[in-house]
Amino acid sequence: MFDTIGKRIGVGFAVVLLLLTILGSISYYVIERMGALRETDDFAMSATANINEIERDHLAWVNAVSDLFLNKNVTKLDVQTDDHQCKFGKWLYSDEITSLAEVDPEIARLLEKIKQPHQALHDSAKQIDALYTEFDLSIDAMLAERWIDHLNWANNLGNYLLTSKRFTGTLDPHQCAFGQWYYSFHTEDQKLTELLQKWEKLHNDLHYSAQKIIDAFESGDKAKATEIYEQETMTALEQLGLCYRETMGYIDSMVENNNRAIQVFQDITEHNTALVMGSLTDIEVLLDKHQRVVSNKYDSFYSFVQKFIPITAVLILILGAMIAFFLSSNIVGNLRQIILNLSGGSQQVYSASEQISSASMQLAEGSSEQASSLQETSASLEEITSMTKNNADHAHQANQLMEETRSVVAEASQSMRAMDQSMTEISTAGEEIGKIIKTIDEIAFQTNLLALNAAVEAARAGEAGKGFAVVADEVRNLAQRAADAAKNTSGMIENTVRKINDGSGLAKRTFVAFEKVSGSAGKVADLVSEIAAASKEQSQGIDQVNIAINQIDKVTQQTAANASQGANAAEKLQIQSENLKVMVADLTRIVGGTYSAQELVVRNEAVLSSPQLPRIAGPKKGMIERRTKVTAHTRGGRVVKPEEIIPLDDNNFNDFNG
Amino acid sequence: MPEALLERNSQSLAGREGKYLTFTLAHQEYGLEIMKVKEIIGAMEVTTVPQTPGYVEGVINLRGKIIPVINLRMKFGMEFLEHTDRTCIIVTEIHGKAGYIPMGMVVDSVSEVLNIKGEEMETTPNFGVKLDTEYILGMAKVKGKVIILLDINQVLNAEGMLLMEGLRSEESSESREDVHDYLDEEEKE
Repeated sequence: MFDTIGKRIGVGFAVVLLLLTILGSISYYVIERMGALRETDDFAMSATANINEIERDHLAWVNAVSDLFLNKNVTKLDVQTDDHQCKFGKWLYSDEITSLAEVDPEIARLLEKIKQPHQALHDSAKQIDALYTEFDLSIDAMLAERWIDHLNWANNLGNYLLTSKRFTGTLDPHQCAFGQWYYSFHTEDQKLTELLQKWEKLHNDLHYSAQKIIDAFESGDKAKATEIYEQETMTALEQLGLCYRETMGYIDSMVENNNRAIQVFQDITEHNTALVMGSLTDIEVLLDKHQRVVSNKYDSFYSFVQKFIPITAVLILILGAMIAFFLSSNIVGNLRQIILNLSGGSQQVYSASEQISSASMQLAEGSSEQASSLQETSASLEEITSMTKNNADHAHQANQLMEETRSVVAEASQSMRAMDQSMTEISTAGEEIGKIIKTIDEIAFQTNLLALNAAVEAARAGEAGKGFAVVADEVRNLAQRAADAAKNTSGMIENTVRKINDGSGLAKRTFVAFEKVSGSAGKVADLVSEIAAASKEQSQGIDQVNIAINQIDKVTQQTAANASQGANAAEKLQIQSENLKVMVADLTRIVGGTYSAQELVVRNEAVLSSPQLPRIAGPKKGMIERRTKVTAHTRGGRVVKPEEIIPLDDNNFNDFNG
Repeated sequence: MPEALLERNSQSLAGREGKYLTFTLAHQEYGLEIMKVKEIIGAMEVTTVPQTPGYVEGVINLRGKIIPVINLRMKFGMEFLEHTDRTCIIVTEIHGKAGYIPMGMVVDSVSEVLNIKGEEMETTPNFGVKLDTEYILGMAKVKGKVIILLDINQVLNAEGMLLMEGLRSEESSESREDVHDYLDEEEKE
């Protein structure tokens, strides 16, 4: 599994890295936890700060509400009345408070408990705002005074009518004390304004009735003046009195409300403020407690990290050092083995390169011999080529001649066939003639028989038949001659027919012979054409052989060149092997070699003589001298050219070029 | 038989001169008295008769008459020869108990009618052993050749005659007179 150095190093580093990763993970986790604790602590601190601020704000808020009562300049309640909109309300119903609630359930309970009094607190502000009106209480007394003034004024006017004593009361409604106050007075109270508006006309009517009375009275119309007084002045006064009472009633109710508002402030606001403040203080206490717990945890984590990380790091360092030691010792051991092998290898390379050098020289010699042989082969091939071409030409001619022969034989066969037919016809005719002759012969025979019978009869007739006997004899003679002639003719014809048959047989045999000749001629023609084709192919083959020979020639030249290059390369190889030895020594030194150079040589010899190493066949006797020469050159430190080693003259290569 | 012997003995050589019909059997010329010859016919179809000796070829139908035929080659113990276009049948008359009987003889070929004189004839030579030479009338020397002159009655001896007569009697109910009549008619013609 750990057979390569890379794998071993990889595994070692992997172990160390794994441990480092584990350490890092643990550290990261601890720091993360500490961070979280710190965050919780911060959160609690900010919450405490918030609560302090809220406490301050609410005290300020309560002061603002109480200012409404205490400070005359403050005419309106300018505070936050919605328990969700105030700073504490916003915070109380925010997400922050839910996370704070998660810290401690007691805090959540307290927060829940705080909500109701807080709402009540703000609601009380609303109630106070609704009830309380900033109001100058002197109006009440002033109005009562003015009312009395006007009553006096009316009394004065009545007295004027009764006594004719000059009326000194104010006629202009704007000039009287009320008028002066009225037109300078402004209030934001809608209801009061409405109520006071009713006053204006009635007051005007009242004052204007006085002018009318005075005018009527001074013109002497006392009755009319009295009438106006009774009618207009008194009505106006009466009505004004209603208005007065109404207004006064309203002012009284306002005073009542203000008192109630103060009551609310004292009862609800202050009470709830105390509740909220108490709860907030409780929360503060809890948060403080919580903060202490977190701080303790944080301290314990910190002390753990302080102890754990250095110890673990030291352990990992020790383990890493052990792995490094193991790996380095292992790798050094392997490297030593490899160096040993390399040293042996370089020795072998050196001797092998010597052998290659000698082999290259042999190869060069062999190449030159091969080249001369190729020259001869090429010349022989030239001859063979010309002969083959002649053969091909002759075969071609023979082929043509055979074609002619074949046609002649075919004609002869035709003629023979015709002749055979003619002979057969002649034979048939002869046979027919033979039949005729036979008929003639038969007739002659019959005639002979008749003649004989006639002779017999003539003999029987005795003397009387003598003449007849002579005739019969003659007839018989004639018949005999006819028979003889027929016989001769028959013989001749038979002879002829026989000869014709013989001739026919001969002709048939000749025909058969001609057929054979024809067949043979065909075969000969085929063979000759095959020979011609074969000659042609042979010629082509020889051409290819020529090309191949040329290629071989080239290759041989190439081989000679390569052999010289090979010798050169072998020289370089020797140098390289020397270098390799030096490098091996360097490497040994670097690795911390325990082998001395002497030891290396001894070990290398042991490696070289080991049976499993293949020994290259030793060079030929003639080559050894050259090899030694080469090695001498190499050891002399001079760069040896291959031409010097391989004794190849330029003349040797001229053969290849030819 | 005694009559035949008598007749032969009484005849002198000179008396035997006259015309002879010559024929060949196995390249040998034989002669036959012309007066014994009735007719010469070419070879014709022969009806074989069972249970007859080997030399009897059978019978032929010659213009309505049944005539027995013998093969002279076989009779003389020669090699049998198939009929050729030269083969002839010589119809002779032999003298039997019941008169003249026509008899056919198959010969190789018929040569000619020769007039043989007395000086050309010689008696049958003595062969130094006892041979049955009774059927030979004599030898004639003509043109450097020897012609054996046959006595046809001796050739067809008694046994043969009997047989022939038997044949005739078996095959025909006609009397000898008929034969005579036939012969007479022939002569008359």
